[in-house]
Amino acid sequence: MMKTFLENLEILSMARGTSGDESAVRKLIYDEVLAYPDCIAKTDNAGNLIVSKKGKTQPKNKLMFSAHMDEIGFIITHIEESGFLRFSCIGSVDSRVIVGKRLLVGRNAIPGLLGSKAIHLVKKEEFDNPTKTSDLYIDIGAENREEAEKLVSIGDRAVFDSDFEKFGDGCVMGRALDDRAGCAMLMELLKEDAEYDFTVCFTTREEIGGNGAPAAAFGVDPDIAVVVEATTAGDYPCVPGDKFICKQGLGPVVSFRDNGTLYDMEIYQYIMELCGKENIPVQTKHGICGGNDAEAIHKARGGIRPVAVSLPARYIHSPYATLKISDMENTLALIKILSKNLCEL
Amino acid sequence: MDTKEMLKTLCVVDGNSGYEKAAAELSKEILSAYGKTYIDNLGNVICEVAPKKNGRHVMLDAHLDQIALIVINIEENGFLRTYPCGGIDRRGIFGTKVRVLGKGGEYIGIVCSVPPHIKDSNDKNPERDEIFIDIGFNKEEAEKKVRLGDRVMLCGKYSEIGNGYVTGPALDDRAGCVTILEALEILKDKELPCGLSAVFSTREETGGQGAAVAAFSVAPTEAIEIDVSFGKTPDTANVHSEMKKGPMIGFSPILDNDLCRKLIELAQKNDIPYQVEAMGGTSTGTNADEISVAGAGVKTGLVSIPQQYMHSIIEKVSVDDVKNVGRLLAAFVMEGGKE
Repeated sequence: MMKTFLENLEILSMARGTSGDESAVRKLIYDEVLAYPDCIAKTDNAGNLIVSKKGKTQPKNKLMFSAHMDEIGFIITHIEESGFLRFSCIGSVDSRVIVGKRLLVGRNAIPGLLGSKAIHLVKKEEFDNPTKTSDLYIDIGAENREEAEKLVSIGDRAVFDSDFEKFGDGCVMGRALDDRAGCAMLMELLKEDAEYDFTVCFTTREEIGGNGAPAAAFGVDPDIAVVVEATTAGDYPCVPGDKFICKQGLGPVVSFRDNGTLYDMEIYQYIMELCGKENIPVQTKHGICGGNDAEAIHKARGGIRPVAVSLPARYIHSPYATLKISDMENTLALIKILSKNLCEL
Repeated sequence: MDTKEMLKTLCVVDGNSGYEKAAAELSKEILSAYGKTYIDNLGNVICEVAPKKNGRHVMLDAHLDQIALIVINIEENGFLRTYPCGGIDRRGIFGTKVRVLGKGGEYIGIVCSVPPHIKDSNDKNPERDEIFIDIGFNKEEAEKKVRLGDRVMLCGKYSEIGNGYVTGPALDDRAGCVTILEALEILKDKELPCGLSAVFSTREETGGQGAAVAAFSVAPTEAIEIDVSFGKTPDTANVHSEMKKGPMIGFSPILDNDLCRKLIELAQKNDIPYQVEAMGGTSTGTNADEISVAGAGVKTGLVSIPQQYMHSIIEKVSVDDVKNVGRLLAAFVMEGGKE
């Protein structure tokens, strides 16, 4: 029995897989897509899961979709004599979302407390300015180093201890929705019979600069690559009005440019018009911000035409990102059409 | 009484300053096993364990309220503007899951955070009136579900951690309430040499108004306040109290010095580990400040449970420390009046 989209999304959101340690996520996707029709899956040496989908016909343009499996988090760098753990962040993490949060630490997912001294002991300037990550530590309740070493090792990873939940008017919250939501949507794409052959890559190490995607793109050697991502929706009060980038509820975000990539203008304009014809709400990024696997992919081999289709996600790189289910439905509808139309373009 | 179970029972119930109702009703039910219990006009839960005897009446107080947020406006697009109700830590409030105690039910939400992709390099921690909640509803729907003044509780997970610790929100000061229950359990079949009242007081995090009026009503001769205080962490050079090292017996100008010395004597006599917390200045920052000057004055002592990460959703205490505070309180009731 195939799992539904929301079931896959929840399972993937609860899975733990920081950059370079994506194997648990990869196994979940692999085991699920094995049951999908006409799919052949393999893992490359960079840890990417490459799924070839056999369609009815050979496409004119070889098409690749990608979404990254990895998430931001923490790596244990030192165990103090007192039993407290020191750590370094994996990916870009603002200290304001980590102080005082509960974590899952190490291979056995033991509870960890991302501690800091009590507010009563904090000086005025420390209160106003974000805490330095290097001043923070993780408490696993160990009394000393010896006890801590029985529970964790240096190099072990930690992630936020967050639940996946539906809330509000058709919204979900959860950890790592950037970019497990992209993964879940591409799994959905693989469920259906395809018109043309295409390839889906579930990539590694995006959060540390897109170090998995180049290998995937080199191996697949496509003409066009569609990166399916979760991008920053800044449509809420603590973001200055001109920095909203994109808004939740307005459908997929198709990029013309971000900090890493100038996207293929012809395809960008084609998709914007296509959405009008197909009655799919669509928006673009208002402002140049962020980057994704397209940066590495479009420079692979002799060059690959880059496309990015993203979900408007609030609060990414924190314990909980949020998404609207209607945005996911509309994005999925667009991706399904692209899997056919871009092959013929 | 299973201490861990009682900690969990009391920690998972809501009770923000000025709106302690759920926690108070549960507490009333629990305290009723030890004496006539009532809830007063400010919401304090007061249990009359034994009437004044031999000219001595002891009051044990711990505060029932926990920190939270209060809704001060419903903004465009349905976001809730909130303000701290108690000392919220602005350094880590972003990205916290919350429950809004709204009209007709609870609504879950997230404290809005700014992702690194769009933040300014000179971004500060949010101001007190710039903590926004996303409950996923538009303004029209949000206004049907949430009223100004509704409380927003910070979600955390209550669990054991390491060897003999528990962690979760509201341990400040529900752990203090549990120490009183520990003491009442030890004392329940004993003939008390004095009067005794147990108080779970309200509004400590917003000024201690609850304890002040409870102390007037109870009119004790002596009081022990039980709160949490700072346990050492790697970033606290001037904190000397440590976890699992026993009750912290307070010394401060506002406290009765002889009573504090008596607590040390009783800890030594009963083989209870203890540590001394000496505080200068004009106050202890606890209900002891209000109780000591209530009515015609109350000889007051302060016993604290060492706690790490106070005012967060990962507050942490040692179960043994909680039990040992309970033992010390029982010893004080039985022997504190003796020369």
